[in-house]
Amino acid sequence: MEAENKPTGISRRTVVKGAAATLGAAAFARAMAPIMNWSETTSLDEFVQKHYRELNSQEMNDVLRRLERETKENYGADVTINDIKPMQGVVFGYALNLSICIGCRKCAEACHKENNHDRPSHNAYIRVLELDQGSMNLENANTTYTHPVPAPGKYYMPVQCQQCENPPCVNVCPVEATWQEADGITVVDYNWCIGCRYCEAACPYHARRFNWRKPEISATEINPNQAYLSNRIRPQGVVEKCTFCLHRTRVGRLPACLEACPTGARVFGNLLDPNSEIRWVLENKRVFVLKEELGTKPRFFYFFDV
Amino acid sequence: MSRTKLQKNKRIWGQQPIYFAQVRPAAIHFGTFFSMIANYKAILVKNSHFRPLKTIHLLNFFVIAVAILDSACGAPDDTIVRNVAVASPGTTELYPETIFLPPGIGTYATGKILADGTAETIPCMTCHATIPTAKTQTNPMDPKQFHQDISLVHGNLECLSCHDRENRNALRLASGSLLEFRETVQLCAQCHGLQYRDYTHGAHGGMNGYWDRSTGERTKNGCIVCHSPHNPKIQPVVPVLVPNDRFLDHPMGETTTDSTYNGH
Repeated sequence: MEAENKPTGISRRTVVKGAAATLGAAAFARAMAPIMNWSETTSLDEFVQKHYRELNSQEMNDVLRRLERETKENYGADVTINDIKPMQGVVFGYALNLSICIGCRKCAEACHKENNHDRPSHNAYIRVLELDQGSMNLENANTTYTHPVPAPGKYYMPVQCQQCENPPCVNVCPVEATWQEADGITVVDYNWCIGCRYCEAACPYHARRFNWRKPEISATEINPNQAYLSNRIRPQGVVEKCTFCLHRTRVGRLPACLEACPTGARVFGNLLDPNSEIRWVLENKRVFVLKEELGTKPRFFYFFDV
Repeated sequence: MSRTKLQKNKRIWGQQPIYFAQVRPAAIHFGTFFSMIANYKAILVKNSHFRPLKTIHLLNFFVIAVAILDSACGAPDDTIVRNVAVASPGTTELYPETIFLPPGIGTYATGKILADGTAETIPCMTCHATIPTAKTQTNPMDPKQFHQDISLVHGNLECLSCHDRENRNALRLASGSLLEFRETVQLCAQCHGLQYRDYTHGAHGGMNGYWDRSTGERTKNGCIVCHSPHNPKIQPVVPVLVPNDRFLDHPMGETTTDSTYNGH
């Protein structure tokens, strides 16, 4: 009888403590698991990296070299990533002639290749709307047509980032990961974006895209001419957008979508230069902007020939 | 847009985000001053019919007013580091703009392939020097042996509307003067004036190269790169790169079959 009541040396309290400690350790490990997984794709350098506009030139250089190294590790491609600043006295504008656009989507294809988009999703910053002639109801537009174009009774309206003078997407960003540059281009710091997608919801033109998955692209297809704010391969879970190919246009070249256009429907240039092609269009054609009533003041203009 | 307007816009565009906001000393002093006044007033009106809430609104108004005044006074734009790389637009030296035309224009391809892999081409007059030509000829298939690929669907034009009857190595303007084949844009322009006007202003026809011609040169497509001169209407093409958006329901691609990628 007394033997039964004899303490075994392990008290009830010790058992409860041990169980609690085990559970606690398991819960802690579980809670930390995302960080363990995350460290595979995110380096410590990236985690402590400062905002784009706080980096000095030396820090920026370190970041660019690190990103080039990571592209080599993850995608096996040798790329050059630059940080290209806006040109002085330049504000970019774009115009598109709806009378001669045939809806071939060559612009979207050029965007897809130039900007190193995810290959399986056929992602591009340009969405070509097929609309009935005589109407402009964007809600009824078809974007996935496969029949030969131009189809009878239809017209085609490519829509991409309108580079608004008053961009709603910038205002909603909770972390200032997106902003408008001096040449009017709204850019994203992909390393600062937290992926909340507020900007995607705020954009009235559906111009922003979210990287649901890590972009898949083979090393041979990667465009090695890259810039930090534009076409470098985006990380998973961040928002991206059209930058008017700033890695090309900020060194004076035409954007890829314009060069790919087989009909010459696209006109690009410096809005501040009175002799530019874009200014001639604005002064001589009857241009309009999309959803003017929202007050976004787009720098992307549409026009019909008369 | 004038330069002063640009400066003004720059102020609006170069937003000073909260993240970077450097509260300026003047703003702090004004803010402190007004909040002191506001607090003092709040004590004064504590037991009166004035509600302190109104005073707080007043305080907000002052703080906002100070902030607006402060930013309007032309604070240096030191929050954004701008390394302006190039300042080239507006300079007088411009790179050339060349017009691209298909190789072999103004010649006839015999169908033979030369040793270097290129197609053999001969000047038109090689044959036409010995072939008598009618004064009017609308159907290029008449010779039965040559030009079988040409179908003339271009208004009510005839061969000799653009080709010279005597010199087949040249084109002929409506005025009667001859034109080299590489100047074909001028030939098209005599009827299609509006298109030519747009073309010369960069608003019609594809191009490659530089928008900023003080930095680099540009190549514009000639008319016949896109429009066959004998059948100028753009022919229907099959569109490329069908979107594979996860929100769109269509049979393209593999991602739509991926259950983890197909949610709404």
